[in-house]
Amino acid sequence: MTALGFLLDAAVVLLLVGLATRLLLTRHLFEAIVLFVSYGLTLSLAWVRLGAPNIALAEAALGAGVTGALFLNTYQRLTERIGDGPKSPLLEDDGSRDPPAWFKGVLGGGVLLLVLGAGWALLGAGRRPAFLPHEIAARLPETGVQNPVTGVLLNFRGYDTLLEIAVLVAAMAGVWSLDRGSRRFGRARGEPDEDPVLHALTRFAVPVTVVTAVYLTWVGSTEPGGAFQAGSLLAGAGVLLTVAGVLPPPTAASRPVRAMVAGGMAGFILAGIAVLPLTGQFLHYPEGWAYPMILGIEALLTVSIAVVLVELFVDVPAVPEPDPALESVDPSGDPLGRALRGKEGS
Amino acid sequence: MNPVDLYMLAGIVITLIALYAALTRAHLFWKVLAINLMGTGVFLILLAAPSRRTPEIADPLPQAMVLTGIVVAVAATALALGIALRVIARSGLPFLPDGDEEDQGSGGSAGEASR
Repeated sequence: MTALGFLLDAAVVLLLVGLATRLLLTRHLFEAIVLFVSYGLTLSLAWVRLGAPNIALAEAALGAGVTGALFLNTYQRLTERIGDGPKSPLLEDDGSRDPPAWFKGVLGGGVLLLVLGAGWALLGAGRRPAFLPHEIAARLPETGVQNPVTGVLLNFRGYDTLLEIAVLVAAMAGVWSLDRGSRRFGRARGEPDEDPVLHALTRFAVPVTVVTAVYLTWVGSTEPGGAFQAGSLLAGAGVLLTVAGVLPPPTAASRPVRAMVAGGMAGFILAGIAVLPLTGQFLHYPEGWAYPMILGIEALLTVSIAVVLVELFVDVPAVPEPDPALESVDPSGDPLGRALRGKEGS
Repeated sequence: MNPVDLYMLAGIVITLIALYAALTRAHLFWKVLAINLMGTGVFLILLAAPSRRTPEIADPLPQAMVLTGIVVAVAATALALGIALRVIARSGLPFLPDGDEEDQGSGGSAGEASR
């Protein structure tokens, strides 16, 4: 049994290193993206083998799923713009801009040394028994939840999670500030349904996904699950609904969307402040209140994360339209189109 | 060698080949992919390290940290892709502009090397 387990581990590790190497060396963008998604799914197997089902869930949904979707969507927008023309440097990297061979050689040598050094340092390190896991296990009842990862995320290290949602909101603000308002998702209302498969899939998958997401949020306090896994599932449903044209694409201009994006962070901060008079410490939940507060914060976080992820997906990959500011400098405008046409001519 | 050591080793190798790729591939999308992979390699090390020390109990602290890291990585990837697309919209090419546009010959590669 352990021999079989070891074989499985060895296979997963070889697959991971092989996929990573191949996707970093290939010259075709589409191949790289497909390999990246495979890599993410293999990695979630590795997390299961390492006894971390919470992370396996997040990896499959976010690392492979959402990130892969972001890349695929970018690819799709680029090909739409280029059409079936000649091979474009956007999608096929011929390496002509890469640094010279001597630089690669020196860097390669340095990286090899680093691998050996890090391997020696980390694998040769002494195995002093850790005290932290036992400490966390002993004090878990104080957190109000039974899933130790949720306990760490929302109680012991609540600050980290607050800053994490702040990073999401900041990234959202960054993407909104890059946006040129060129969304081309879905159909206009009343337009005929072009894609019955997409429509059927949406009808079937969305209710199941929403129920699963609610379950994951709820169960996160005792079992693997929680706001981030549930939020990414919900985001999947949101993306399907947006692509199918059932929901209008969320935009920065919409007040409810902005409220939902900021809601998780705002609720988290308010909860942190609300407990101040009772316990004297920011985010230090009073006794007996930890569980309901964590559940409330998780519910808000789930919605925020879902909306941010849908919005990141819908907003980012649209290839920006010609920049009016640039057009005033360069009257021929549309440098992307010009570069592509130039490529066709040559 | 036990299985956890294997994952640790994989983490080290993936982090560093991804570092190599991030520095040697000029194409912006591969830079984003490579930085993503570097993150996952570090996550592997972070999770494997405590399992080597206390195999009998899963350490929830690094798990919580990795969970946070995955979410931050997704947000950063989305922002990076958005910026890459802006670069493409401006120059028509998925590369960062050279440091000094006058010196087209070796300027590009030197600019790459110094990053």
